[in-house]
Amino acid sequence: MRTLEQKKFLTIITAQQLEKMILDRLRKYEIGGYTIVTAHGAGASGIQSGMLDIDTNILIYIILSEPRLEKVLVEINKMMDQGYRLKAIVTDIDILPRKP
Amino acid sequence: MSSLSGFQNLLVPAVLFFALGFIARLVKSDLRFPPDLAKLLSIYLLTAIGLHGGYELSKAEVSTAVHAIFWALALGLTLPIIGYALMRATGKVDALNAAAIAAHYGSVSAGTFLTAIAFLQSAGIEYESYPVIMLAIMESPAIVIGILLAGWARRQTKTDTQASQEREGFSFSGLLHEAFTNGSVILLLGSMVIGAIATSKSIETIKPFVNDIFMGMLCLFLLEMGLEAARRIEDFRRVGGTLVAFGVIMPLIGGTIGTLIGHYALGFGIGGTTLVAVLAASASYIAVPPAMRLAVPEANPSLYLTLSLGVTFPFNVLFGIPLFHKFAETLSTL
Repeated sequence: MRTLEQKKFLTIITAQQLEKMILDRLRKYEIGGYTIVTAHGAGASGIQSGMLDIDTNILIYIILSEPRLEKVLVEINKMMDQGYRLKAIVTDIDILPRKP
Repeated sequence: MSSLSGFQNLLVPAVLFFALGFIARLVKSDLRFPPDLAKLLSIYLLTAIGLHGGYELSKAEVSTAVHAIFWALALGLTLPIIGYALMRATGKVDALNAAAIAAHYGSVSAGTFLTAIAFLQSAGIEYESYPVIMLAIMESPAIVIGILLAGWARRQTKTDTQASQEREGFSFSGLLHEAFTNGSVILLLGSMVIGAIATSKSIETIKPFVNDIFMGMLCLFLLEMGLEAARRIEDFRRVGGTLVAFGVIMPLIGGTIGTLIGHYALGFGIGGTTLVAVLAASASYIAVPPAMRLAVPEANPSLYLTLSLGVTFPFNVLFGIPLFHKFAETLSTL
């Protein structure tokens, strides 16, 4: 039986159009593993109905270590300072590692 | 009768479906399209209009086409500046939001253009094919003006945001590449080239796809756009009365300029002039919003999307098209 490993789970909520930009920036920190799902909702940026490309949100899920998370959060913070609209939610998780 | 009078435009099936979508949302119906269907309809319509336009253009005069391209560029580059000045004059919107909104009004709405075609076809009005190429050309130049206006606005305010963006080496060329290779632009231009170089016989084989089902598909698309437009009403409070008024006044200015260009500069008939007016009056909801999200992140998307989809699109579909048609008709009698 594998031992549970402690990791961080980062969820980024943003507009679909920012997907490429965010992934390009995350790649600098050697983050190649992620899961993206499309979503709809509403917030300070108005309605995101999910019906057209221009008003579709995405959720980017990333599992990463704490040191790497800190670097990523600095990058996300920079983007937010530039005015990009995104939310970053961090949760502690225990994960069953792929390698025993 | 060869033309629709007054507001009989409202009795065109495509427009009625738009109204149905709008009402369905207002009465809180659970009518909802699968998201990918709305995108598929958009792809179909751009392909069909591109193929049709390309085929017609293959028989057209090159000099007139070049002339049309010139005026499309002129409109695309000038209208955002007019919009920006108008918005700044109201004092109700900051420079960066004004730049992002203005860019939308220099670009075009394929949905409005297609509704205008439905209007003309229902009335049996002939129209030139050149506006189709103008539709493709006008998708992107306004983005450049929007970015330049935003850059200018940042230099005026000297915000930290601007400084940090410069540090990050914001890629203007990369953004322009994305704007000009935007899926809808590639699809429209590509379909036009295919329509222009394919043999007449082979074009005949796809006639049911390009012509016969076109209006039905447009009805479905406008049904979805009606739902989308009504959804935006909830954001009217956020946008404010002045900007909602801008969403009506700006298409009237653009449409008037477009009608004059269509009639006097391009020498088009009533149908072609109406289409040029509609191009100039419409606001983008395909190419410009993603570009502004990336290039002017400080601007609030709810402002430009509400104006484009919730105010200007319904205004043009219901009132603008018959109004510009009437204006084109009046000019032709002078």
